[in-house]
Amino acid sequence: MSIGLMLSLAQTGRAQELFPNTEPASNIPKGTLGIRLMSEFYKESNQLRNFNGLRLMYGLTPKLSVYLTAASSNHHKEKLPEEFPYHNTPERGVYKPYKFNGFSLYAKYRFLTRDRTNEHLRMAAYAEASAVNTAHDEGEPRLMDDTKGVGFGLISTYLKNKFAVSLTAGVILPGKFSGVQVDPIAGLPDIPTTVKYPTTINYSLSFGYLVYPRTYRSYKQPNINLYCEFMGKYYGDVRVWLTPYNAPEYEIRTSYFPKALQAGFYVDIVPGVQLILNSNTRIDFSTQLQFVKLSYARLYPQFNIGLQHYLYWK
Amino acid sequence: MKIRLLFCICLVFISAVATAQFTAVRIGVDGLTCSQCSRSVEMRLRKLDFIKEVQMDLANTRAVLKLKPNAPIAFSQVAKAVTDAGFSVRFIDADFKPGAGEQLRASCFTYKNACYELAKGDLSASVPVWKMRFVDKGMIDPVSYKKYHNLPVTADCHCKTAYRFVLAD
Repeated sequence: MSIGLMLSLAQTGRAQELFPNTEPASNIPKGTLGIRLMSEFYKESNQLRNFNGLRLMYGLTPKLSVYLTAASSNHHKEKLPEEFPYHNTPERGVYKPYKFNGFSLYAKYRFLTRDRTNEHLRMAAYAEASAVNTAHDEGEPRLMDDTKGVGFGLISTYLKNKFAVSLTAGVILPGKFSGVQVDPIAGLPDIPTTVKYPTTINYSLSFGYLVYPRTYRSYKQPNINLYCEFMGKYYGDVRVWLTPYNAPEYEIRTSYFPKALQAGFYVDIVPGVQLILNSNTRIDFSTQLQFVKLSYARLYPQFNIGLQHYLYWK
Repeated sequence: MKIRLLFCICLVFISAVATAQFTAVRIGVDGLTCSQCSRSVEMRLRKLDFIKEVQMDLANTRAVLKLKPNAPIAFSQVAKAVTDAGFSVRFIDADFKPGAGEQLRASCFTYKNACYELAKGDLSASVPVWKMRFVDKGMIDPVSYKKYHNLPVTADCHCKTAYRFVLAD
């Protein structure tokens, strides 16, 4: 039983910055362990593409949080597509096995705190690193489940009464993937292929609003929050090197690439709803929709589900 | 029978001598915006071994702490619990009932190995309850801290743990 349930939030609501798909500048409380399950899925021809992640989050200090994420999906095959990168990218509707993609680390340090009554402005810097190594056949990188590499950026979150807004801007420096693709000429061995994913700028603008309850009476009251997030990336061209049988390695000219491997940008709009139970367990549901241009790393609409819980050590 | 009577008289006599103690602590928390945030603060405060009960008031972003009797109170730990949860202290107020157990000087007193120095004015033992507001860094909002931190230290008390406070009007 929780002691002290004297929560009486009069007629004013409180904003929520617990964005379903982006991180706020605030941190996990010190010494608290958070567990988050994430799932994304979209329909691709007769396939259901699915990503699942398990994230452990820990508040090392009041200002420093670290996350460890394990990712799995059926987004990649063991080998790159045949005739990569000329065409056949991204492969749509083909069978891709469900497999474990790898781990990624994320750390967030809050360096600015301007707290007031029912209001705060916070800024944080984050850094992330990924050991994920998959045969990712689109240019747009994602460290959590597609490509290895590092990233860093800044988050600013402002919150006043019922309204929260957060802006994130960062850079992703993905690594190379060295693998093979099946040679289209029968009888020849697989073609060693190296893919250098482009340096990418990621950005997001998120809005949150508390709609229920209007008056807090206890921690047991469910909270319902509405969110609208704009998320996107700007990335350069992929670089690809092939080493066919009995031939030296050579680089493919970018102009031959399909759109999914050429420089581009997009902004998705992601409306979402969140249910918080017992002032702890978060259930997030959001839908990722095309807004400006498009991402080749998914088909629209993509559905995102999150489940998160904090463990407070006694 | 006589021994029992004597024991009862002693009890009455002892209870008539008021023991100094902190009777209530109230804290204001800045940056609190949601019930989950409020719960995080409460969970950190409840870890402190001198706190018996925490009542969060999200409407006013405050908490009322009930203290375990006769336990030494580390007010710096109260402030740390709030910041550890990711929020900021707006104020820490405490009601202190002077009596046997505290050592009183003109502008400070010691109680359970901690010094409490009045930042301005004099302490009066005739006042039944001192309504204290702590003014140390991290125990009050930054704007109010600037107002108090330049006040001269009177150095009446010398303790390893020392707090500065002002009396509520």
